[in-house]
Amino acid sequence: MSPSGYLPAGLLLASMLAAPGLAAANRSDPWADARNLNFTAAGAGIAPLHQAAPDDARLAVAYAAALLARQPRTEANIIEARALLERTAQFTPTAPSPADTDQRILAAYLVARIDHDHFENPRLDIARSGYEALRVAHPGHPLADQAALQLGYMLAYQTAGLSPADTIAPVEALLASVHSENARRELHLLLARIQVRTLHNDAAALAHFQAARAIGCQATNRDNELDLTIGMLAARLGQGDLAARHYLAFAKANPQEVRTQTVRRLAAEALAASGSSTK
Amino acid sequence: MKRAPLSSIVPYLVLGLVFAWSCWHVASIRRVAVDTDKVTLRIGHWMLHAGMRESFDLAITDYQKLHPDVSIEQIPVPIRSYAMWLRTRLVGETAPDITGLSAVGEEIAGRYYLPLDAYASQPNPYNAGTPLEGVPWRDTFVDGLESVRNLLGPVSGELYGVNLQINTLRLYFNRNLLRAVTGSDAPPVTFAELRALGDQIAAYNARTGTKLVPIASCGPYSRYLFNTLVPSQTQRFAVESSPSLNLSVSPQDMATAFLRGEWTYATPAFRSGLELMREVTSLMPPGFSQLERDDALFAYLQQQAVMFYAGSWDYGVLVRDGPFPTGVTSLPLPDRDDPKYGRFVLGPISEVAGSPEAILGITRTSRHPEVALDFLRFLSCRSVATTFSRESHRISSVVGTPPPPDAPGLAPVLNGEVNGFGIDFTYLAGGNTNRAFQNNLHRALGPKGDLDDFIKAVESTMPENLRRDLAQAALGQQREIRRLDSQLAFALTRSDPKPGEWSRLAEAQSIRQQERLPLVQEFFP
Repeated sequence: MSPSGYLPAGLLLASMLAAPGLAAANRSDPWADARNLNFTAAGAGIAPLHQAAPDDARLAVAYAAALLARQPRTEANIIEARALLERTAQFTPTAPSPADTDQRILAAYLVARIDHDHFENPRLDIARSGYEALRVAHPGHPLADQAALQLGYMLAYQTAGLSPADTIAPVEALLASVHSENARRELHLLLARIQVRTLHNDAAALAHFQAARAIGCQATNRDNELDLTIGMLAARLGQGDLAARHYLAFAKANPQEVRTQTVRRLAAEALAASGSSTK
Repeated sequence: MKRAPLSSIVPYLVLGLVFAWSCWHVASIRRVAVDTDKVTLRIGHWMLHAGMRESFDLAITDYQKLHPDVSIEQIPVPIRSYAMWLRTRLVGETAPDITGLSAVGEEIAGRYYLPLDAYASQPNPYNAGTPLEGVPWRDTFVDGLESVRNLLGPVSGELYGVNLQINTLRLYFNRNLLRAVTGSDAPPVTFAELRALGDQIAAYNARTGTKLVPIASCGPYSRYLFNTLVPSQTQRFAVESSPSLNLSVSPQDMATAFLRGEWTYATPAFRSGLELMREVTSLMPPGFSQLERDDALFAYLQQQAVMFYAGSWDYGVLVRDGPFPTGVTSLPLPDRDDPKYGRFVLGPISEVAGSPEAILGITRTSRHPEVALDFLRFLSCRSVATTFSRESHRISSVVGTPPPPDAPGLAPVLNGEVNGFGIDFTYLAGGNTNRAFQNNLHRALGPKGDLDDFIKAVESTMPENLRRDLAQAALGQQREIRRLDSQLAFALTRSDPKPGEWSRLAEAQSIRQQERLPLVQEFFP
């Protein structure tokens, strides 16, 4: 090979060494299959493991999760998954480890989720009982907090005869009882949405949006969207400094976005309205 | 014994020869596949437009010079059959190593394509010696690959491809014809000038006996034009009335506002948008909605039309096949001073991100994923992007790559206000409302068009159509909510849990629940 041929060969070799994950991604692993949304392959991979160790809560939950999502989706699979999860949640091993307990809490949570959302005719009362039981049995557990969030959704959108104004107090009570960031943020956003869209209480909504923003989001761009929402609400309420702060936070995080120039203009207008000026 | 006549043997002879040729053909293909010691990469895509295959060929030749042990083949597939071809190849595990990602959602991307996130944070080695040396691969793209991530991995947040180019929509004009009509080849700059040009062309036709059409158009491209023009009328409305308080209006927001009766086509901004549509169609050929892209292209290339509103992807064919110089400009939109349409306008529109084009991903069945990754890096390095852009006459997505030297006007406009939104429900799930809009559009357009007749006809079936479309949207959201329960369970049963994975999935589920539940409560209790 001529000396000039070493550079490209070296580049290619370096890239091959730097990319071992690409080849590894092709290996069969039920959890990797699930991550790639191939639940049929995931289920096929887990089934023999679950059959070999039917009392293993982790394998039972994973197998049930594959049953729930694999195609074709059938009522029989959902019933089988629910039964398996219920058995797993109720099984008491002689010497449970913390990890094993977590898996059984997850099983109980998924039973309620199935009743809530997976059957063609949702079993809301049974789901509600499941969520409440989980909160009583495992207060402070992240999945118990997640159950609280689901109860919040049920109160706001799936409880007949409850007016939007009547949902505020019980959802606020749920919010006061949870600790996980995800549940707190989402309950704040639920309350904000009810306040702004249904009760037209911008001030109350703003406080909840700010609380959610302070917790922060993982989803791409969601924090930026919240900055815009807070900016617009604050401007509507005459809080120019607050509006400008959030508008400018959006502009800083998104210098190359179609809304950025408009947002900068709105920030300047908000500051002008509040008597400040853009530094 | 009588001998068979020669004529009766001919068919058998022909059949035998054809069979022998087929055997040789199949054997020769296999021989090539088996005999070679080279790593063979295949890249399948739908980009058959002028300049694209040639640009891929150039890049492939350069790559093969650098890597003599690698052989790369292009598999160009017509766009009409591409989605079906791709799906069949993916399911049959016979997909090329790299494919264009078109009409692919998160489920398909996740199942059949390799995630590239881990590599996006590493520098692209082919950028050595350029200002992009040492810059993470992701940040060498103008939008940091966010549009591809949002398109292919909105829930997972995974990156399943990279886009080599970005698209814009432009008004192309025949410089010779424009000069003949107006005495200058300067294109119209304002909407008022565009209207005036229509009158000038009519006068020119009357004077010379020609039958020039101002703008060549067709069904799909007229929708591009409408969806560029109409948002100028909803621009101020989007900022002031955004239901989600984010300076935009989602299709679901718009559908629910229509169903509640809060917005109608009589809402001043919407009616003004419809009037603008009606006015611009007077510049198009009669029956444009029945025409296809090739008809419009042919009319422009045959110099039967002075202008052509089309994508940046079409510029290459105009340069190659047009026996006249083509100019490029943005579609003139009504400005704030326009006496008829100006009151709804905020200002010139930002196109900062363009729309991603030529998205390429690596299939999971690739036998040489490392080489495929290396070739993707090569394709998206500054020097190759520059050549690619020049040869294909398209806009590169790589930071700092100059636009095609002959068409700088293709580049997105970076400064401007937020755009408004279209009013034809193009992006609402289900498509029933959009279909009703399109099917009744003839009532509003043309010299005898009657906006009130159009509005009455569309709105008479609108509640039913919107309900069907929203039900479809809710169904899609429910499917995702259910799937996320399984994803969440798998995330929590991993032997090596990834930090933050389950909370990210729980958040994604909450986003869908917050979209779906109010919709179901209000319209499908």
